[in-house]
Amino acid sequence: MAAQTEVLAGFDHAHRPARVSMRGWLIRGLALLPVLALVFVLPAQSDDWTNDAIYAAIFAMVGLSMNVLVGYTGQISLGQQAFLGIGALTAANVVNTGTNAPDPFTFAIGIVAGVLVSAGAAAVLGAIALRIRGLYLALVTLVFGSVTADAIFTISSLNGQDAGVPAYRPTSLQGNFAFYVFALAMVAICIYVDVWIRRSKVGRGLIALRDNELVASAFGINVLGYKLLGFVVSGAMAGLAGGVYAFWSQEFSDKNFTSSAGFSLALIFVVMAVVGGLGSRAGVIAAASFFALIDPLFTGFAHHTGWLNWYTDHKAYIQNLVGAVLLLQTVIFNPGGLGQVLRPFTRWFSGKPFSLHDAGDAAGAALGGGDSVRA
Amino acid sequence: MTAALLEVEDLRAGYGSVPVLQGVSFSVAEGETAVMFGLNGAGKSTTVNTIAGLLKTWGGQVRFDGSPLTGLSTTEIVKRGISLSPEGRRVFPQLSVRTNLELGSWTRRSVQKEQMAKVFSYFPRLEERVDQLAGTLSGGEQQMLAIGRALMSKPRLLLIDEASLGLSPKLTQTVFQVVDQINDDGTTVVIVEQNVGVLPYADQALVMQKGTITFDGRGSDLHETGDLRAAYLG
Repeated sequence: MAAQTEVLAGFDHAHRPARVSMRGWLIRGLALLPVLALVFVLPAQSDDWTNDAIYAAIFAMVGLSMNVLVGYTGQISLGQQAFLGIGALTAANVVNTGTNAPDPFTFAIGIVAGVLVSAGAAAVLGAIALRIRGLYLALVTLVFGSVTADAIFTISSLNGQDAGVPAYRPTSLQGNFAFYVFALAMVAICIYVDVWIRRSKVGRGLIALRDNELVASAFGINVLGYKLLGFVVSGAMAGLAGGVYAFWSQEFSDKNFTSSAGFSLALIFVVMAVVGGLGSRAGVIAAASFFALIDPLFTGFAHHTGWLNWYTDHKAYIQNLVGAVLLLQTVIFNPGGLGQVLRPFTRWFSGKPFSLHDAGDAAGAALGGGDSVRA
Repeated sequence: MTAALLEVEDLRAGYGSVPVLQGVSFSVAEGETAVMFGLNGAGKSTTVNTIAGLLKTWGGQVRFDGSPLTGLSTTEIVKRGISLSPEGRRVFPQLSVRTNLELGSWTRRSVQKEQMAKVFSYFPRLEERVDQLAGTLSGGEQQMLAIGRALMSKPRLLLIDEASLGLSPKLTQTVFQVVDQINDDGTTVVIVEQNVGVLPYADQALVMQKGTITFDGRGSDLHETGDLRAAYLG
């Protein structure tokens, strides 16, 4: 019973401190080395890999924004690409310095402006969506994403028309690897916000209203306020990702967020949140990185096997197919998503004993699986 | 006669456009336990949910300690001293027992420590399982948690919707005894029940039929008048 209680304590954030010896931490540190190599060493090997890694970091930020909204708040968004786009559009326009590299202060102002404007847009969507749920909420967010794309991203004075809006990086971030380190720092900020939300009174309020709005309100939790907060924090994180996206591609182009490109992004964002495991930070980051890297991974594979032309012609279908298969596999066989698979490892890294038979999984499955909340 | 803590006057409420409460009137004196009986659909849960502010009042009035509650937010109602243990227990399954209890004192953090100790004195089983996920508790333990969570805001009036639902007769009696103890410690209690086994613990009995109160009197009188039999068997 003691062991089971300990495991369950980790499921809801633990109240008892982990007791691991120095040797235990050393082993964990060594085991972390391959992960660190994957994150820091591999992207340094070539410019292409650095670019791919930055794209994965941007997706990870969007994944975390979905985690806050869907995993903790229990809301759905099929319009998250709009916040990404708004962040990118705002950052690019604020920092637009013609052909010159901006100074670091202007660059920072651009990023912060992207976050704030996205958060504001999310507050508008949240206010509209406060009293609706389920299918209707999904439809409203879908329409919001689509209308935003058509109404804002196509304004010629904002989108730079065919040439797009230039978004040059400051001199210190000109190199791709330096920019990658910056993107990782932004991911770290999103992780910090996610952890803070999960461990604070705010997180408990969000999860309570996700589990049962009526009961949460019976205890005086401000349901509408907290739902709105979930939308705003999620929108701000997606806006931050948008700012990084603009400076990574060094321009804002409306084509990346409108029509089929925008809709495709919206679907990928939802699918990666589900495949990662709703409420699972590590799972969502891993799934988001995977979805960002599908194209370069498949391109590399096709190149080596002589299928490059065929893959290039069919890549949109193949990527959608991979997403669909992973989604079905998750929903049918693994409702806790990638987070459920990773949890024995993340628990171990956090100082708890390694166990493949996590009572939290059993509890999560018994309670409906995919909704479980994990650190 | 002790002054009325809760006064419900011609209360009307419903869901969507469907009226459920057709003019409910009763009052509960401070320090007493009132039990509300009635068939499914009679409006018992609607009554307590409306008092707790979860449903909008269509008409009539609810007064608590002399002040009207109509139009107040649930947050304000909890702050004034009314707490609800909802039907079907509805604990937050993926949060620990401790976090569930902490959520109960959301609006009154200052009393959290004191109330948690009190809840554990009523339900020692919850202290043993304090770090366990609420969803992994047994039905009886979840009921204890639901009542304990409602006590965390240190309410003057505790509303319990169907405490015995899904519990064994033995466990039901245990829960009723604890509720009696809570009442003895000074909390006014209104229990919605289908189980007449609660009657010995009740100072006041109410019977609801089709959205109105058809009996309001002492618990002992209910046996004699036959209103309960009429309510359940027609």
